[in-house]
Amino acid sequence: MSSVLLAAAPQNLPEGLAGALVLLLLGMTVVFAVLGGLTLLIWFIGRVARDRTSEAAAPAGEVERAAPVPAEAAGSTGKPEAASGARVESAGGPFTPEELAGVAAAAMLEASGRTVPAGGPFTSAEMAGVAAAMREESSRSIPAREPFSSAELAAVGVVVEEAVRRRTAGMPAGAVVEVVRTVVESPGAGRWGAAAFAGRGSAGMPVLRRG
Amino acid sequence: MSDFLGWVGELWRTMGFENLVWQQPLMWCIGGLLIFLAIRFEFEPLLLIPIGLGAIAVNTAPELVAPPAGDAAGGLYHYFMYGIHLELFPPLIFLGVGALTDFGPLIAAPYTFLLGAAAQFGIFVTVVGAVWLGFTHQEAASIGIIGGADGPTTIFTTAKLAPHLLGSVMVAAYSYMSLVPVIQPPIIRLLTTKQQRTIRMEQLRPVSRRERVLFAVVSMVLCSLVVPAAAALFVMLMLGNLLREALVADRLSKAAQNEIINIVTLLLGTCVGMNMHYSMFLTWGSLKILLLGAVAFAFATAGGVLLGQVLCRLTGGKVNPMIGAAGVSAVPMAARVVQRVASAEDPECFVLMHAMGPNVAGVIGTAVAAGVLIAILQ
Repeated sequence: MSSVLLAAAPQNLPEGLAGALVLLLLGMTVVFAVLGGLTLLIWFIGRVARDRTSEAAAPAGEVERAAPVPAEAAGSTGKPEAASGARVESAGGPFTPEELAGVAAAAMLEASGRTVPAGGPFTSAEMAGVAAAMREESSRSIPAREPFSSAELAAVGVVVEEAVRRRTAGMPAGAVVEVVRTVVESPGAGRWGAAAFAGRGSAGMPVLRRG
Repeated sequence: MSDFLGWVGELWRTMGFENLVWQQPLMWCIGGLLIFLAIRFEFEPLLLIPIGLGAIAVNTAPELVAPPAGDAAGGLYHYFMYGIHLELFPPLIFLGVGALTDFGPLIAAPYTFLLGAAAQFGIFVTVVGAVWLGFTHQEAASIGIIGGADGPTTIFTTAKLAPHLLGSVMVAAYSYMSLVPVIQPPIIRLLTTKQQRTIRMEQLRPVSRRERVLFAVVSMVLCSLVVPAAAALFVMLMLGNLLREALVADRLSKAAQNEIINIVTLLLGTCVGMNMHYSMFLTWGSLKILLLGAVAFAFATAGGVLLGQVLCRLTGGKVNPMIGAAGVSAVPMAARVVQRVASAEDPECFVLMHAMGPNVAGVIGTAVAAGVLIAILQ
């Protein structure tokens, strides 16, 4: 393939601006060809993978939402990834509203130096890890931290940052309002999320402790 | 007494004061400025601190990079510098980048590859501009690659095509990368309407482990076949990603994400700083490179947004054109900038995950662009 690329280039690149323009045309063509080829390949791979997934899921019928995964089923670390797409609906990035609320609350607790309880499908240690990552995320790229990828953490980071920034008179705005409202309306978890946002600690949480 | 004075004189001559020239304190100030920016404003601190200190050090004790002479060994950084000249550091950084990168958003929305490709426009436009300003094609390519916003690829390309520009090009590249939040928003706002900036995109589908593993292998093979000049980058990037996505090599994945990339970043940063000796850095060429670096970033952002506009029209307004700006491969800073611009217009508009697609595509796109330039110009 490289010989194709080199054959496409003039044997002797013209001097000066003419040569630079050749580089511009040839370079953009190759970049679009390679990334365009990858687009098609990945689209094809994704389509095949989705077809297989839907075939496998067909006997069980339409699953609207994945159920919480027990720690044993998810492996020793309880990674959500092991549940193969346990996060379906989302208020921000790949997270469900409850997960986001839990993480947001954890970030608040962690920032105030308190122990972060388990929340949603996550252990206390996982939640503390995410909360600590929130602080790192404020100014630079964040490393992946089990069980989250850096992209997922960045997504939550923006939501939490927004929540904290806009938390005036105890009322966060935007999607986080929805998240908090969702959590508040559900017993147990709601008390935890609301209490954390109000800065009153864990208020008897967690009711969603895993395992 | 005269013996004592003679001894003091000898001692004085062994010190660095005698040959001190005015350019050295100036370079100390420049190095100090980089450290100040890193600490005060947190501009790329992991890189600007070692670069700044390296710049001060080499302009204080040039012996640090001196080659061996006779029986005397060379300076410590003369040997570390082999990591750049032999192109060891950039692929090792790519190993860590691969282990840290989640290609999920890109796999879920493959069309975002095209946005990553469009953002490479800045590289090639800058090549034209640099040639117009009198640089050779090789030098122009090294300057143009700044527009990719990818430090390791910039080093990889410059070390091959124009090693004498390494210091200036690297300082420009990392300075502008840290200024992405300042450079991009005005360009994004200029090229999009408020209505477009508030387009809410559909939730990305979950991506299976099988897809992630296949992506790493297939893209590595394809890119290495087409542009073998940059194969070292592709192989290491995808090796790191494969370690991460395989979920069975956590120890190696974590080492790549932490120890390896941290050690190499330290060495690379100081080596880049050591390339900033005043004799190479205080030139008109350096000023031109700084100017061209800004041009490269601006055109890269514009290229991505303009293709985003095309996709927006083609999809009937389902694609927020701003995500094209994330096609420059400053991961994840460019994507976060897009999210912040979106949030400023509509607090409930979440495009971060969608912007991560072109963002990581930009990493691959910049490596492809570098491979093309190296293949033609080396």
